[in-house]
Amino acid sequence: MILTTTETVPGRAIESALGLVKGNTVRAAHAGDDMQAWFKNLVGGELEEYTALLAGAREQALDRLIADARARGADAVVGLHFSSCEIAEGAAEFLVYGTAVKLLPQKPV
Amino acid sequence: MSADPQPPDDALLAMAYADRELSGEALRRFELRLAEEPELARVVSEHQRLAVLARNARPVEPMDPEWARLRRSPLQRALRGAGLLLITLGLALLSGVALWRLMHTDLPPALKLGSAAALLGTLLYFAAIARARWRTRAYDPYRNVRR
Repeated sequence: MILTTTETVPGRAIESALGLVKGNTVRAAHAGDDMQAWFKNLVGGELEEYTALLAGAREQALDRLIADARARGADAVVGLHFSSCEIAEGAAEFLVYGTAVKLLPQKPV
Repeated sequence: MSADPQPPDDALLAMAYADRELSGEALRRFELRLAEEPELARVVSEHQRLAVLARNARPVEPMDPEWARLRRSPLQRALRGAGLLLITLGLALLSGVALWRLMHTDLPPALKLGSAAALLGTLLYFAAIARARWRTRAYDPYRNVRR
């Protein structure tokens, strides 16, 4: 599955647009991670626990978008956007969306 | 010299499912089995976890080895473990004492009963949520994504 933030897939022609596809998730850190992050706030540095939380949310949302696109028989998703907001304190929400497209077969070189 | 044994059919199917290579009737049949067979779901989750890790493979940052050393350090583990244990014990003790004091006050019985029910209810509710998380944890391939 080709994923791209551009509106086209370079070098490939789009046969048809199959519609909006999206994936989202909200993930929370456990209390132990929250506590570590709170203490790290006092001494500075990377909040590793939250970095990992955000990364997990991003990958899960992406996987859901890919599953949505595959269910529609897409070859690629173009115009991919990531969006994040705070729905609950200490939780990471990720929304990924784009347009699923069918590509024309690649011309032989 | 013998050839490497082939993975069993279920393992191949789990890999194909994690790679989203199943479709049509094969996909439908496999998803029906997933709903019935926890061990198969766990195998699929493991393949998904590896796929996510492979997708995120990237060069090590200079700070990473130091984080790893810290995670292995006995002193660091002892400090964190002892801290967490003392916090948990302290909170449990404080809750117990607060409940005991509440039960031995002159408050109306309804108030005492209500407070005790609320505390017990909170504990039971938390236990149910923690149990659900514990059961689903093995099937969550996104727990070990580093960044």
